[in-house]
Amino acid sequence: MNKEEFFQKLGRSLKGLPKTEIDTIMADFEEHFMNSVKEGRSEDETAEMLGNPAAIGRIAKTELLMEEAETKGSARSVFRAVMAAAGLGLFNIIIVIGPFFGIVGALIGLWAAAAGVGLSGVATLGVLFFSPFVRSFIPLTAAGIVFTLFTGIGLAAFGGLLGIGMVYLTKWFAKLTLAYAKATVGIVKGK
Amino acid sequence: MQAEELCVVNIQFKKGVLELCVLAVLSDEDLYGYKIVQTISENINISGGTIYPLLRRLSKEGFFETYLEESEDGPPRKYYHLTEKGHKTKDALIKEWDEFVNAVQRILDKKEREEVLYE
Repeated sequence: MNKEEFFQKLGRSLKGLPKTEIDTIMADFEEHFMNSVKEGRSEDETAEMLGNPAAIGRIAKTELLMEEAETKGSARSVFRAVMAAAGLGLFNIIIVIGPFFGIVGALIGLWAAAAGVGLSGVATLGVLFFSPFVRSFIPLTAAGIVFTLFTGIGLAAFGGLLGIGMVYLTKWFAKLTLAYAKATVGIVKGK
Repeated sequence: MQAEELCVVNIQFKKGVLELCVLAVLSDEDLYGYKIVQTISENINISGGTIYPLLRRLSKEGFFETYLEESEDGPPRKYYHLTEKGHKTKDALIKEWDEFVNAVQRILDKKEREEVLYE
């Protein structure tokens, strides 16, 4: 592999990172090539010694995404970091990634349930306000209005509570995932 | 499955040791990236490029400081300097390493004695 090819592959594997980070990594390797050639090595030999640029890029990317996930702590950044680490082959695909997707799926389902309950409450309240404008409207009795009102408020409040619970659950899961991923990457640095 | 696990352990072991090597290489003198990679890959069979992400991470963790210094010919080089924190970590890792190696050696010695006895 020649130098140009090395940088092309490295660049491709770093896609998606901030430009400053990419520039720093590229500059380090640029300097490495220069010093290596000065010592009498050919560019091809130097590339050989450095190893697979795609692998180097993945490692650099994973470490950066890990840091970002740690400072941000958002579900999205954690997800990105886990995906990058999975690309490194750091996790046993079946033992870790399987359950990971399972739990992510369950979380999405629970979020949908919370939203569903909340929205059904809002819809129930909506019936109270908008039904008088519907032509086929049959006036509700006083008891009916009270019943509908409380059902609506109850459902909306319950949905809200579920939502708050989900925020905590999601945050907790993100934290746990990150801690695990960090421990793994902490041990496995490199090739 | 078992072979695969063994391989992962092997990689993890190498990488953990790599961190110690980088810290040790820089304990006596400041070096630039190429020299660090050369010194380590002369002795350990790894792809040298993976040392750069490690250098970057250890710098961010406060084990190194970097500075640019002019070279006689050509553009400046980025030198890595071990900080106080880096020195302390290196000492702790060396201690851990020594204990580990000694423990392994004790086990190997014992095994050897037993083998001699059986023969």
